[in-house]
Amino acid sequence: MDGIHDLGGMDGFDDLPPDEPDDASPFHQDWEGRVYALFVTGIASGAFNLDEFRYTLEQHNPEFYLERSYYERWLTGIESLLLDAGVIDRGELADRVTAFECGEAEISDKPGPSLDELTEGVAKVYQSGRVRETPVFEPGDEVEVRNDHPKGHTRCPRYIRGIRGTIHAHRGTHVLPDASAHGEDRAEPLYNVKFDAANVWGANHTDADAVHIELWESYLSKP
Amino acid sequence: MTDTSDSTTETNDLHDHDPEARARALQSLLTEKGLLSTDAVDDVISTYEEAVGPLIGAKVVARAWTGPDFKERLLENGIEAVAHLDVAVSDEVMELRVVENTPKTHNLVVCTLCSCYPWAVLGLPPTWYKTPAYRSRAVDEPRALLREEFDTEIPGDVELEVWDSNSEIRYMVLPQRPPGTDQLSETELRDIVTRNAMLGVERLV
Repeated sequence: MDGIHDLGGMDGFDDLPPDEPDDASPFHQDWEGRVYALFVTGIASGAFNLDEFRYTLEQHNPEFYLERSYYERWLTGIESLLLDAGVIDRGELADRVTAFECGEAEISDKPGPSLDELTEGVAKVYQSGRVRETPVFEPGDEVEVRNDHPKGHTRCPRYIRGIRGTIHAHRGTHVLPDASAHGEDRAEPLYNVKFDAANVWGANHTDADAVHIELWESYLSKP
Repeated sequence: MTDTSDSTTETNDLHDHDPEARARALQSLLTEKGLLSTDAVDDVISTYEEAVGPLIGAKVVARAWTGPDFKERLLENGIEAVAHLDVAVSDEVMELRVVENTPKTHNLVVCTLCSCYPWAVLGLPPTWYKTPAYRSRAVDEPRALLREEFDTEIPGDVELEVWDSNSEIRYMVLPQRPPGTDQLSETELRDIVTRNAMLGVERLV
């Protein structure tokens, strides 16, 4: 979808914020680390995959997306996906949030999976064991990115659609996010495509020389 | 097609609540259901606070500067080479590509669609990396961005290549070894490698 997340080449944002977190403290606040753990749990338990997670964040309305913090966007996405998967109940979650706000709840010490066990679960989700598909394109081939604006999830950013580039490398066969985010199990050859920056932005409107990006085979056509 | 927009709208009623309370509420529910433990949460936090951070990347860079064989392997298959170093890295969940800066080419890493980042070698991304301001501008006017925001000037005769890491393949920049560092040991070299240089927003030369 052409949502607020698709930011490449957009103008008008403010200066960058201060350089944090730094090496000493990767999280700004304690609860952000919890959110990261909740994310790992969601993936490891099979409640959602990475593509579904990304798609959920893309569906946040633009105001929410731009105004709230990174980990708050994550938390909101994780809540939605766990509710959708039926892992938790909406009423149950709302009541529990209120209880924590009032200081009337505590996290129990009940034993559960260790981080190693969760990490194993995540690795299983990532290990696709894909049969290697024969790539249609070879390094050096000229390609054109299809000018397609799907309403669902895609990892083909707007700024390179309709633009010609050159296959830089074949990256193997990877799960197609456009299908995976919608519950369909499909994989395709993935390529790194190199674009002349002047082709993308116009020679007078860029100070880069080249832009590289990974694109799935169905995003590309022969010019 | 699965459409989760309805539930996204419905959870809006939680938006006004304190995110810390929301995170704790979700943690407590998942713990009761046996899907998570307090120990695992503590371990996730300590992993990112203590074990995984830019020091791993610095170790990788220093080794590549001093060992031509390692450098070749690193550029061939990043995560496999990194896994051979004595560092905590899960090579199963990520593919890493290392792009080398040369006197002719400077590389810059961004993720315009979200915030893909080589966390296995650099830890969690800094705030600026995740902002719309960085993600929007890095692909079309990177030289101006680097000059204005990082005080980094990329000479006109050096090509600037941007790597928009929009999938599971993550990028790390292998900076050029600064002149006058011939006498430094591998361990000493680690100290001069910065996180920003490994993202390409800074040059060590």
